[in-house]
Amino acid sequence: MNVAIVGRSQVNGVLQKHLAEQGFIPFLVDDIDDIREFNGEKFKFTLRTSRNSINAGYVIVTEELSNERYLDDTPLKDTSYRSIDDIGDLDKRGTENWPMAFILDFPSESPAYITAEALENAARLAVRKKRVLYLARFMRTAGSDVESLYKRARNSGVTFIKYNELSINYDQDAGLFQIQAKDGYDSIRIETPEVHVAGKAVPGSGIGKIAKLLRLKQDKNGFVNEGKSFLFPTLTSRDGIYFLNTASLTKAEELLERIQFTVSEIKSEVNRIYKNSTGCAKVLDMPMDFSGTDVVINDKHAVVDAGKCAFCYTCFRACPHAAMAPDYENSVMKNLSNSCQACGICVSVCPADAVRITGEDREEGRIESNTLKILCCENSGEIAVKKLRDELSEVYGKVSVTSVRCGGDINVEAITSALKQHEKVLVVTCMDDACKHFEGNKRAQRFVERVKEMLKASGMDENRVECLKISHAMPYVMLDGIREMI
Amino acid sequence: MIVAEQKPLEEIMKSLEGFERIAIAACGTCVTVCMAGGEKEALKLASILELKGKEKNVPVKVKVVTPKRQCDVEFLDDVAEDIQDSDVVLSMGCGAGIQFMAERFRGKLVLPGVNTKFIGVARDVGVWTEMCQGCGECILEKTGGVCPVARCSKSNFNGPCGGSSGGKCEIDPSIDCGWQLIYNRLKELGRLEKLYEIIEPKDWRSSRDGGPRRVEKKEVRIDA
Amino acid sequence: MTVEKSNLQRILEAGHFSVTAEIGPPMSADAEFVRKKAREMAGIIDAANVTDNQTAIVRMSSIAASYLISQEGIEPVVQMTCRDRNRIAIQSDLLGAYALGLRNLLCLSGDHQSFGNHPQSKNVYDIDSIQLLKALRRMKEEQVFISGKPTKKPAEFFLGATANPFADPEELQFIRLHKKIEAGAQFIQTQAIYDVEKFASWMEKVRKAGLHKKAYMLAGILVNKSLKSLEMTKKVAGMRVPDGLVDRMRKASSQEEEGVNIALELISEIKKIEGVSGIHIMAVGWESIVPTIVERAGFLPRPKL
Repeated sequence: MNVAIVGRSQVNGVLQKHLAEQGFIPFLVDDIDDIREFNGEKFKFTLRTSRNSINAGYVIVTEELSNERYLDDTPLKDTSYRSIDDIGDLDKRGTENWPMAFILDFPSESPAYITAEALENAARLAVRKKRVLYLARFMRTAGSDVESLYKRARNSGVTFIKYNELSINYDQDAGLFQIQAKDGYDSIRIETPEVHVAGKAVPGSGIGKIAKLLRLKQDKNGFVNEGKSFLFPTLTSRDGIYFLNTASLTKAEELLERIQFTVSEIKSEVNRIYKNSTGCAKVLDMPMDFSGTDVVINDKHAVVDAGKCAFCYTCFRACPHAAMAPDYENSVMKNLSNSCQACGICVSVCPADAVRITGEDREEGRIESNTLKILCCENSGEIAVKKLRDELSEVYGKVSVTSVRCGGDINVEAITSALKQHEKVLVVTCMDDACKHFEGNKRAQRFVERVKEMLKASGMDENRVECLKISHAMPYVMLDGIREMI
Repeated sequence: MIVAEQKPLEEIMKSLEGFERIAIAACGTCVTVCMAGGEKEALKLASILELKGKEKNVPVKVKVVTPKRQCDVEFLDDVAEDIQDSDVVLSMGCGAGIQFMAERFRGKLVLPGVNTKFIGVARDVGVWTEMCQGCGECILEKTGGVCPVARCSKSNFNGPCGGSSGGKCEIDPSIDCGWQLIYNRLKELGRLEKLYEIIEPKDWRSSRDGGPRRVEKKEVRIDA
Repeated sequence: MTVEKSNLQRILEAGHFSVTAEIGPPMSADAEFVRKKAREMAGIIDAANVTDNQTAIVRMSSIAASYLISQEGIEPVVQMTCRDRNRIAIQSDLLGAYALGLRNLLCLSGDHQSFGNHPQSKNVYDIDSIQLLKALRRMKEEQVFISGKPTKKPAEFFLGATANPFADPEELQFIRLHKKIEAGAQFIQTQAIYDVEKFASWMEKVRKAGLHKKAYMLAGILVNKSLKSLEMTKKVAGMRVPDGLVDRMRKASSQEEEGVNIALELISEIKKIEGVSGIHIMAVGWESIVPTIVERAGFLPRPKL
């Protein structure tokens, strides 16, 4: 099976080697500007450049980060600030009485390798009895060995300061940096001649292009799949496309681990599906690609009713997994079932009511009048409800719960239908940034707002419906919400 | 396409007060795409109407029909039975559709469910902007493909007014100055000299000012 | 056929530095209000603009108010916007204005009605200001209406237009200025100037293009009575007011006096710039200060031709 490697990176060679070793045929596409077309879904991707056309089962995107020196375009650029790796020869350093500041001022979590380096050096200075202040906008949380580095730094005596707002000035005459940091409650002023500022890692310029072409989600800082714990280590919003990111690495060996992980993931999936569809377990006999075949990976996916579809592209734009594609022959959208995660966002936004999820039976038939209907997503509310079994028993007779795959599937119609049989409806979805389908929770929130508007405008009680965004680890917040509504 | 916006719900509810058998005629083309009056929106309205009916203990029954378009009579014929069985019809079609429905279903009260706004395009999911006014005589050749009639707030034909600032229109900073857009485009195309030509006063007879218009395609008219 | 030239035209053609001011008509039918303002400026200026429903606020019409001030011995510059009237009404009103003896005309697009007190009105904009200038020049030269039909006694105005040296994009605004002059503008009144340096560099471009030889450039000066007035001016789109001036006003012991001083300083610098043919003083709401300014700027007595 072909696996396309897209991007210009030093790891391409290593990646090619690993893929070949596992029986795949790697195709390298390193001139992103030369890509004319990219379509398809897992197992059936097609990529066309000016020179050739490739069918691939999977795509791995590689791209390096580039580094920007933090203070380069500020008035402080000519002052004596140091970078985080410049702590001088520790043996030759004398006793300094001033606090040394390490500053990691990024709008998002810093790349792990930068954090690791800063923590290591801060610890080394602190162990030598220097006063070290570590100021950061974010404390890195997920995904790597920095946990132990934080611990070591703390034990060595490093003081950690988390802030929302930061300003740095330089007093030429005194030779001192004046730092002011605020966290919304307090503010701190520090004066010191020694400041270590971490450089900023930004996505390379090619990442924007690749993300657009391959329709991958980027966060507001331009990183692909950064910060989403459910995408770690190399998944992306699009099934079948992997991204070898380097921002959460602390050591070069980790990159190799990621490559191995990705390739083995692909291999085991191919094995499983190939085995399921052909009954044959031999990997080496796998075909070049599955295009033109009917290999179905997902049995729960969206289906478009061609008679109703207005070909308006709304589902195409709204799908977080790029699982809708235009069928020009029939002038309708069709669902790419291998990419579809059945989140239901397309169903909710389709203005022609033309999309359904297969195998779904809507609640229509059943009549159960309870006081409260909870419509929740399986990643947040459903789990929380299970944890609340005892507490809910006191109100058990009054509550009915329906769980769906994603908040994005809880649309206006679903809510108003529920209101016909229940006094109140509580919609429970994941918190911002935690939605597995990226913005399904926000869509649910908008739908609830619309229902409230409609209730108010028709002289009915808008408090009959509420929306709660929680994590499954917050069942008591949900319990409070339920009690308030009943 | 024609872009419309659903009427405020208070207005719709008020106009349907007292009716028990309501037909909502969505439209499967333009108003579907701009999310003002497609089947989805019609179902939402039906739901809220029935909910309200339940609250007031009135047996409100709403039937939603979705002709593919309301501006071709055959699609209306398809839904005639459901329309006949209703006391009132809320048409979600554009101004043309609503009027056509009223014509076709003479004895029925047909009420508008949307406010028809303009001919426009989709800018993003859920955002549409005005592009064309239907002035009847297109001069886009002279202005690099940007229309001064529709996109300049004053329909200036010969350049911006003094209020254009930072590329935005003085009456609303979210509106791009049409003439800034024209200038940018002609510059890109290397046709800036077009701007030096004085465009003469428009003959407004080709637009609605000349009276309600009619277009005929001779090629397919064989009667008389 | 000899065209009866207006006072303003003759003064400019004779090479004198012109001084014009502005009168804002009342939001009522009060004729005495207009006459009083005119009397305040008698003998002080060469002509006074009479605004036409400025900022789309309904006021006595420019033509009517212009006639009233002409009766008091002040030569008016009638203003005509394209916002409220179609080509039929515009030509008709202008024939009447000329018949009443009015000879100067400033052609404008007009502020959008959303700024005024009748935002619900339909906006006309049948023709734009450049088309209007061209039509009136044609009327002078060929004695015809816009439709091409002839008129035995055409209106033959001394035509003017506006320009904003501070608007963007520069290239586009310059093309528009060029077009206005090609279309028939014989004098140009600029938007109020506070940033003399920027204005001077704009005038350099004007001179380079030879436009100052084709049309008379009259520089606009706004006289602010108070800090509030200056701050409000600063907020208007297209205006460029340096912060230094706002500070001056804020620190001044008498804001009125400072407003006058600022205006006088600006005038003295602007009149030195080559290609500037006159000063246009806008002291709307404070017309009574105009004689003071004109006198202290050394423009009296006005030439009598």
